[in-house]
Amino acid sequence: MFKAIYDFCYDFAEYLLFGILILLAFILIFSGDSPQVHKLQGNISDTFAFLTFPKNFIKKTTNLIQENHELRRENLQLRRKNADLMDASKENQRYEKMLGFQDSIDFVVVPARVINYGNMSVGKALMLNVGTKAGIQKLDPVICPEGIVGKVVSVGDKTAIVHVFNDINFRLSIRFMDSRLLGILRPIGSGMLQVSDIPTTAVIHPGEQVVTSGFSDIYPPNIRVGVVDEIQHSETKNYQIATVKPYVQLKSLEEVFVILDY
Amino acid sequence: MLKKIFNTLGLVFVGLFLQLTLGEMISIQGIRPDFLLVVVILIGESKGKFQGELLGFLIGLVADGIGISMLFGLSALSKTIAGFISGFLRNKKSSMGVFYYYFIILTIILIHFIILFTIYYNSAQLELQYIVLRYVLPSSLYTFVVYVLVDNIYPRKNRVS
Repeated sequence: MFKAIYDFCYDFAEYLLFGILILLAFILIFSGDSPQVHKLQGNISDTFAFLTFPKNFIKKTTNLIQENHELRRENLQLRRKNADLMDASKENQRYEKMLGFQDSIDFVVVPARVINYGNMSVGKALMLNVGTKAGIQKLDPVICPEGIVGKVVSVGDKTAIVHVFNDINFRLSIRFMDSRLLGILRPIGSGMLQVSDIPTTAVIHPGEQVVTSGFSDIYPPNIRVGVVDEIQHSETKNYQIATVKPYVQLKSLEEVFVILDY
Repeated sequence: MLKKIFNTLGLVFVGLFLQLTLGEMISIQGIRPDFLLVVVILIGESKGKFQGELLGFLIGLVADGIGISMLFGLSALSKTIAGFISGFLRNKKSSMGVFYYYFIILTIILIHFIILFTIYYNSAQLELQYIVLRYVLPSSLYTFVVYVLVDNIYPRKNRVS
């Protein structure tokens, strides 16, 4: 009996292994939210993060001279702007005091370097050089000075994987800044984002700023997302569709901030 | 024996290195070749189904770990299938003829990308036709070109077990 089973397994080892591996792959796919799977993903990104070193080294070296020139120019501009902003800040403080507002958003952030982005044929993910050792946790929001970047989906000890806003499966609760209208943002490819199902009665206009709504458990409110590029009507003319151009250019992103608390 | 293992591991690391270093640089309109798939097919066709599917699964897991933010295990699934099918091609190239052989390789690549993209974009409410024309076909052709280049550059005798 056992010999027959052994012979069967031996003869069909390739097919049995195939079945087991397919089953394992499906288990992994359907256990996407399990902490063990996230831990496994974190460990893999930790282990193979060193392979991104040559690319980052080349990128850094080639960009250094150009970056230096740009920074000098930017420095001059910023010095000039700084004086203006000091005035504006004082004025703002006065107004806030008058209106009884408090600065309710006080982020605790960890700076991180982007060590890998979008090299695989499917999916868009950023790999950061910080992990649990820096206090990063799953679902921490990731931003940069220009605006929203995404959220952490898996964390290793030294690396974290970020689900970025232009991934086809990304969704974000947003608010149109002027009209105060709420919506769900999703990417449509070619680097643009879209908010559909906007009532025809709503008045939104190209150039209007889009920010996070604050209704999500993940993202704090009023993080810059993008600007309305175009308004279209749906085929049935019952709704409007807004195309949004994001502020953040992920391809050139080098440093980001992970929000630990807000 | 040890030499063969190192040879295979070396191939895997070269594939990973190329994917991470060149993947974004040589992408055209967001379409990039899958060097890891090329490695899986090379291993499958030279070592057989067992090693092809096993390494396909492991390489897929690594790809999922470092490059995908959703559906962890999806690359492992598609590359296991690619490795398994390419295992049927072991020592068949001379008897099949080059064009027929390459046609089967292209079919394997297509199957891999159909699985990968249709599952990944399932929740994105995109039409199947759009997914195939925008992602599956271009990625498959790009990867196939890389495969043909590698197949003609990397000596076959180094791969046959």
